[in-house]
Amino acid sequence: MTTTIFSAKRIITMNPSRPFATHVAVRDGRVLSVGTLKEVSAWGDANVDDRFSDQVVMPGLIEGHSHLVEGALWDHTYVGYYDRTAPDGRVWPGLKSVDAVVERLQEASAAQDDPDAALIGWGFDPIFFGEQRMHARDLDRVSNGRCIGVFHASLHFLNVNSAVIEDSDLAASTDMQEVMTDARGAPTGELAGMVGMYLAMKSLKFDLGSQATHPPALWNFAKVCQLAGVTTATDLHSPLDDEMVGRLTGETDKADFPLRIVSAFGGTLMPADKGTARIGSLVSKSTDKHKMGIVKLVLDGSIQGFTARLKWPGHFNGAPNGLWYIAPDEFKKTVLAYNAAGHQLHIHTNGDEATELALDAIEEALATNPHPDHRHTLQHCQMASDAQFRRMAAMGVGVNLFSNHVYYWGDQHYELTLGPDRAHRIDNAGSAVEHGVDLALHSDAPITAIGPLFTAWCAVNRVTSTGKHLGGDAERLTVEEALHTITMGGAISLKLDHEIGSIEVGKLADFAVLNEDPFEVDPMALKDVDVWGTVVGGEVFEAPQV
Amino acid sequence: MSDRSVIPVSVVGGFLGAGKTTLLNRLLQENEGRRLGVIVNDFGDINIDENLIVTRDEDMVSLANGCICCSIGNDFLRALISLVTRPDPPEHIVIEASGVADPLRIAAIARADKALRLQGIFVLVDATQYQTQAADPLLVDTVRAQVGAADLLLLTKTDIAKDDQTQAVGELLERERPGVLRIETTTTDVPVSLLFGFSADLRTPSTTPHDPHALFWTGSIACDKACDVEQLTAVLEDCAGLLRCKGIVRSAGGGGQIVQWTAGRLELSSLEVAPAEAALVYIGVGAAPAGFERSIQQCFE
Repeated sequence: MTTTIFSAKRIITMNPSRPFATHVAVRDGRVLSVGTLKEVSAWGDANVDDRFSDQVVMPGLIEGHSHLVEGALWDHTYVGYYDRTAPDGRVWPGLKSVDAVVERLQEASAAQDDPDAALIGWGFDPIFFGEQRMHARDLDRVSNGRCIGVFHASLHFLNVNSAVIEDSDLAASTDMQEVMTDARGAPTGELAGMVGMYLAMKSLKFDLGSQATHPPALWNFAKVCQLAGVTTATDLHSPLDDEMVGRLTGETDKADFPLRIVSAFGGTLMPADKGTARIGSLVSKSTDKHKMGIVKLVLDGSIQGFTARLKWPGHFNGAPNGLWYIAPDEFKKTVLAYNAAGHQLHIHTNGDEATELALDAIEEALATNPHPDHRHTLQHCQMASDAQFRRMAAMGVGVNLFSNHVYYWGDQHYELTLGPDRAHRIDNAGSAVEHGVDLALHSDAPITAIGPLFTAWCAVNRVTSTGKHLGGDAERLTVEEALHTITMGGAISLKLDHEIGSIEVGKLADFAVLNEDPFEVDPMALKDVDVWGTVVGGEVFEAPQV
Repeated sequence: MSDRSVIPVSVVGGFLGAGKTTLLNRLLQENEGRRLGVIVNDFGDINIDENLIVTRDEDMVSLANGCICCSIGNDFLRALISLVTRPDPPEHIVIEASGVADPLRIAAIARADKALRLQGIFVLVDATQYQTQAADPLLVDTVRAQVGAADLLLLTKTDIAKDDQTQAVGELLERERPGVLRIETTTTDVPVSLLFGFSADLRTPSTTPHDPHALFWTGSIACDKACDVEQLTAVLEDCAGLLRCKGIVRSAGGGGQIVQWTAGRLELSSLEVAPAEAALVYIGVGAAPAGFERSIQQCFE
């Protein structure tokens, strides 16, 4: 029985009875003691490990809403507008023009041996390119022969080259809303919705969902998390079939796998009677580093895609209301069934009409089958009103807000989707805290990059990518509150707060190791705090030095 | 001539409870010799006769009549692509849209792929529920979009709806989709040949007789003279409401041709030897167009 004492410049524990310390003793992968060297040494013989003596140690960060497809995407070429860190630690600079995207794809094409294999780009975001859209002839400059597809950041749009257009019937289908056309009425190669996903899967042989749990993708995902100081991350919608569960258990069990993964079962992938049986049978298959038991339901679409369900007055630009992904009555029955079976629900609601329906459904389900500590949680919940937070508080419903939206889409919400009033209250973390609603924050990776410190920065500063501030000071979190949400907040929302989220005796020895103290830096620099690496169950994982 | 490898796709839409599964059950069993590929949301509701099942796994059932039934499983697109790319793809694919889906968005996939051809969007409307749904602020846009996508509206459960209910829903649909063919049915009595023979281009006067079988007109012609196929094509194309026409005709230079007219397209296959008996049969919806028989006869001179 070996005990290791890690010393650090400072340990931020997130345990209010001992908020700061200098030493933490670890035994059997768990925290044995936190305090001064003298205090933690009282448990007997120990090796003292001083490698963090210049670092700040805090509880391992928790990403409460992400998707494993982030890992699968890193097998392909990143062409996004913002810098993004790859699993190997290399930072891919953001691309600020279509030409720059073409250039990076040319390099990737040259490096790809098989001349017939498709080339995939991802993360593309033309939002700052003004009127300029990418055209198939841009991608034709990359390669004549091979099929090329470039996914937008949302994954709901795709640009393809002429080879894919010729392989399809798009030229004869330009009257469809999915097919963008140029001034002459010809398809530009920009596709929306299922048409794009279908052609990607058929012509480009690109199947993101099935790749996501393959070992290379799992390792990519784990490393991206490690680089961001994350020790527990979610795959917040999974079919969790036997094959997937086998792969997840097999890889995460490896001692050098640097991440705990919490998989949420996609609750509408099968009828609720079968779904409750399925998830019930999976709980006992949870392991130290792969947890199952929570259930995800998706109620509406996205605000920026105009598919969220909004209450009056609807979209600012007059676009019609969004889509239900499940019929309201069917949704209520589904909530009732999973709640009755005792499973914690994580419900995707973007628009405030969807949030209202989710709260109605939970209220009815709890009236039928009360659970004192259900912790059902609304995910995204970006437009929640004061009244809705009050209902959440009254029912014990938690919220996991998509704070990265403030930065990435805040301007669009202000000008296009929601208008000034509701843009100011987007992802209003301050209101959640004010009402005493259990709060977590997320990236929804791969939609935005995993980086809880960046997410915390968004909630603290509420500044858009063009520098606009959304919401008054009341909606901002303090740095302390924000750090609480990306550690304890995440743990509470996953019902894992007895195991992770703070550095205190009995909990797993999961730490984020930082080169700077997040309490010491300017709040506007919180996102730039450098991550040294992580500790998971006492195992040290240093981020690669690039 | 259409490419034989192009697979026609039908989309069956409509809100939950409108009777989509009942219809799909019937299609699987009354497939009229077509090897159908049917994609359903879930096997649970599909009621396949165990004696018909040849093989089954988690997401696919093969039937003795050549039909395949797939459940969407984790991923609708994956299910569709696995059907399309099979070594022995089905002759016709029928997709069940989910109860909240806009069928137009699913149909868009069929239109975007050269290997597929959209045959039609059939939207089922529950005569007992539609008024309530259309008055529900949470549902009105969903059900309206579904009705708006329809090439053919099937007003279902008219056997249990009150008479004034069926009439009111009929009027509502007439206002929303004037001119779109509408059939009142109990879902179990829609003629399968109507669905398969239906063309998305089809527009007929909005008459809605209560007996769907009374919708049809049929006819046949036997003629030993050579057929002017170009003229025949023109006559068939001009005939609003024609669903199917098939038969064998003689050619001017000797030999013959097999004629197949389905869903607005003519398919011809040449025969080296002139057929012993030449004849055409045809079936359409609505009232038989005036002068159609005479126009057909004029093709044989």
